[in-house]
Amino acid sequence: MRIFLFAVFFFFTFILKSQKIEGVVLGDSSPIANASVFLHEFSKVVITSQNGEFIFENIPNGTYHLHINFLGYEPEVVLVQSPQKNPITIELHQSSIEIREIEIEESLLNSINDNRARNIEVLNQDQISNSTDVGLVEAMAKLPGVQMINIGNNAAKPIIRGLGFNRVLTNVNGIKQEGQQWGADHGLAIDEGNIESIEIVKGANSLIYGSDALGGVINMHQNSTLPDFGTSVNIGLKLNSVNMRYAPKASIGFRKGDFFTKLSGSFAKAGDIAVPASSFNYNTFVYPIYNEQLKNTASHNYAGSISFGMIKKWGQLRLNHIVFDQKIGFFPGAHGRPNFNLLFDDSNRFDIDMPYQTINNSNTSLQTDFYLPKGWLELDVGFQQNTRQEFEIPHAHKLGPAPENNLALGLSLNTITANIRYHFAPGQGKSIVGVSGQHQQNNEEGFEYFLPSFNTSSTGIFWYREKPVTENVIVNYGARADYLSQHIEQKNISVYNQLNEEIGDTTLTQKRDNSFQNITGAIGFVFKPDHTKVFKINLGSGFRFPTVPELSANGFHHGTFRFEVGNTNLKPERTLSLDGSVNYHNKKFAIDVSPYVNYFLNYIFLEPTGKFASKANGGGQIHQYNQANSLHLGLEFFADWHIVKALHAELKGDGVFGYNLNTNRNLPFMPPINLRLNLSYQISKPEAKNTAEVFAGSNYFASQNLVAINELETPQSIIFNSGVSFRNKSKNPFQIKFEVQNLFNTAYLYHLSRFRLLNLPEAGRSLNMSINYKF
Amino acid sequence: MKTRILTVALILGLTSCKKVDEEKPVISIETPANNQHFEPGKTIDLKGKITDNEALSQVKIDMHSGDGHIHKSTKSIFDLEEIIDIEGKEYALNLPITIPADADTGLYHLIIEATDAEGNEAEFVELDLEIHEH
Repeated sequence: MRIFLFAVFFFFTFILKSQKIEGVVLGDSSPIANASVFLHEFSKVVITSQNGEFIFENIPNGTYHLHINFLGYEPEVVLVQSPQKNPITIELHQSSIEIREIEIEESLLNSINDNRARNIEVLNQDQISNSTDVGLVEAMAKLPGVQMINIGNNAAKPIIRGLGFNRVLTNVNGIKQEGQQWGADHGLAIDEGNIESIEIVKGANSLIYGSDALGGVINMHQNSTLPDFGTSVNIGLKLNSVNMRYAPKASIGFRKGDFFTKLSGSFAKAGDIAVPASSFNYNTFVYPIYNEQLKNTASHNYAGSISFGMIKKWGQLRLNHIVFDQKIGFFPGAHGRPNFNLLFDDSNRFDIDMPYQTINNSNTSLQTDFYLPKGWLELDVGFQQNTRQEFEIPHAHKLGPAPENNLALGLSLNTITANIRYHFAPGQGKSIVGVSGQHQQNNEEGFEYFLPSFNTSSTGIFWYREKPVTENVIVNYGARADYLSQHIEQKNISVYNQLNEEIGDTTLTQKRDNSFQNITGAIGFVFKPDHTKVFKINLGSGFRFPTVPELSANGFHHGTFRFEVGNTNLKPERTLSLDGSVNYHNKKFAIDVSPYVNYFLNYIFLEPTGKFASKANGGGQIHQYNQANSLHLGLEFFADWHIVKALHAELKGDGVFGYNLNTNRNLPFMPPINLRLNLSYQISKPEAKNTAEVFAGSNYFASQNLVAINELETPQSIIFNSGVSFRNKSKNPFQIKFEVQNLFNTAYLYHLSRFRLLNLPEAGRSLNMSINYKF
Repeated sequence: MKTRILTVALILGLTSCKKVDEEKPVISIETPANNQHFEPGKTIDLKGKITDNEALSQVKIDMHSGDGHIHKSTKSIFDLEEIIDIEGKEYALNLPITIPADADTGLYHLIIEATDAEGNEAEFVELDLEIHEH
């Protein structure tokens, strides 16, 4: 590798020509000093001079995006070509609306909200640090079109446009996160302490991201901006009263010359969740909730990350490593059917007793960009290890010898991923060609069985083009082909008679080799008639190869209380998707409406058989995977209004419907229509050194009566929150925020919660706090 | 709300209004009673009725020790499971359960579940039974 890098270095230092991108930033025709200009592709920032001028040097040939930001003006994104014929002039428009800022990512593939015909939401470092939510997914679920499946403490799964599990793809540092996404009872194994920014691309987007990009794509970045020169330290603390959670974090960054490094660590310990109820009803029984706390829902996690990077004339390089270790107790009532005996108070809020699960995840990635004469080459390689273990006391139902230990289900998944992308600019606009490959190995162990050991190899190739058609219209289009091969191992278990004597064995999963292929494409248009309006329309497609559980599962899934049986005849699931958005903004008001419709071909779902599994196998009704065409449509919107300069109102909402066209039933896990209103009042002037803000909001969920078979209907609910935040904007910025969530301690049911099945209310009132300080 | 009505109308328009059986089967148990006591060696007369609007599929009877976990006992752990295929709109459940004479005493759960041909699950019936020697 080292020799290769040196070779590349020598090669390019000879052929590189030093070019520059320069321009001037104007507001109302006069120069703006101190505006920030960001060269997206290379993560470089410059500040404009007194004359509004800026310059980037040593820029290879190509087309680049510049993001220009200045307080009180709309942020602007422009495309520039290198070499430049003339310096560019950028005119900013005054506005008090905080246009949802386009965050700066390391990769060109990400984020050009205005020019790509996609709908993108961003959470930047500031928003992630300041949020007082229990986790990353909770913070994301406040964005329009994003919801979550709440699994309990410190764990949640993201849902985008009503699709989740393997229909949402998460990338960490450009590498697809693989961690048994199909499972209903564990969350995303990434801690907020290691993530600086999150970008959510809504809608089907398999053209660029490949399999699984159906509902949307979440791009998480460990380093979205480079550390300051010298040494800088960030410390932060979050507290939540509802589960007595405390979560400190710290990071230290160092940058000198063209080298930088960052080290960060975080910890979170949480006790049993408090709920505003002293009992719950399940199947005509009333079960107690002692002390209004859900027993054994405590959790803790440790996370850390380290990165090294260098920015050279030949390109840039980053080496990242992230680790995450989590232990979460299962509410004994939600791991199989509730049982009075298991619900007695154990008088310890922080202990984690059986049943519990542990999740260990590590991601190592190398990200490199090489500048070539006509473009640049991006090469990302990643290695991930994900281990998930469930521990419980074995039940007495089974024949045969008792298991030797408490490991019920152990899954260890190793994944190697590589992406190569070449960015170039033939004529106007830009093009990308890319190749990606992935190899996975999964091993299973434990006394319960759900899915087999397997290995898969996949590869994909794509081409993407973005170019201006007229001054106001940008078109983007592309095509992609993918191939996946899979080897599933046989699983035999011993069979015992009533005297516990072994009398032979039986096969739960047959050995099998599968292969799948898929071809997909997309086309989109962006129309910007003037700086106040943007129209986007995109005709795309998404696909997803069947997962191993869908093909070969044969066991009880504790997450769903179902016995699931795979179907080896499944074909890839595909969607044709049409989505668009209309955006209008002026100085005081902004609105964004995004409707979409997906037509699914071979949508994979679990179909009940009406037959029971024997309890030796875990029990439950047997559900078999099947596929059918389905319709999925919805809309999300966002409105932002500065009623007066200091008073700011925000209203977001979304609604989604899914319908299986063969069974004529609703699709499962569809979020209810929901609205989120937030009012904030700025006590001080926004440009002051010390600022303070008070805010209050509410979140309304309509009732969800369009449910899948055997899914429960959920009544409507409304909860309120309120808080105050203070911020010091000096060289050593300091921020503190207090928030009360679920202000009135409302007992409400959330349709997508893991606890919905048991009629358990969601978390009660919580006093939250976040503090961040940088020095 | 308006969007919702529109979308529902759209969905209904797109699909030819096929009727889907969403009605769950119903289980009603006459005997035994909840918290009834039995002696080892005696028979529990499980009697009841299972009904559905269209077609029943299966009934499952599961009786197991009430603490649900392995316990170190010299006596045999009484554990019963019956899965019966049923059909039609009504099924008369009549299953005598003989408790072994050496059955471990204590709390037991008797759970009766049923499904219809579409896969709709009935609300299951759970009875707590006490087995002890007089």
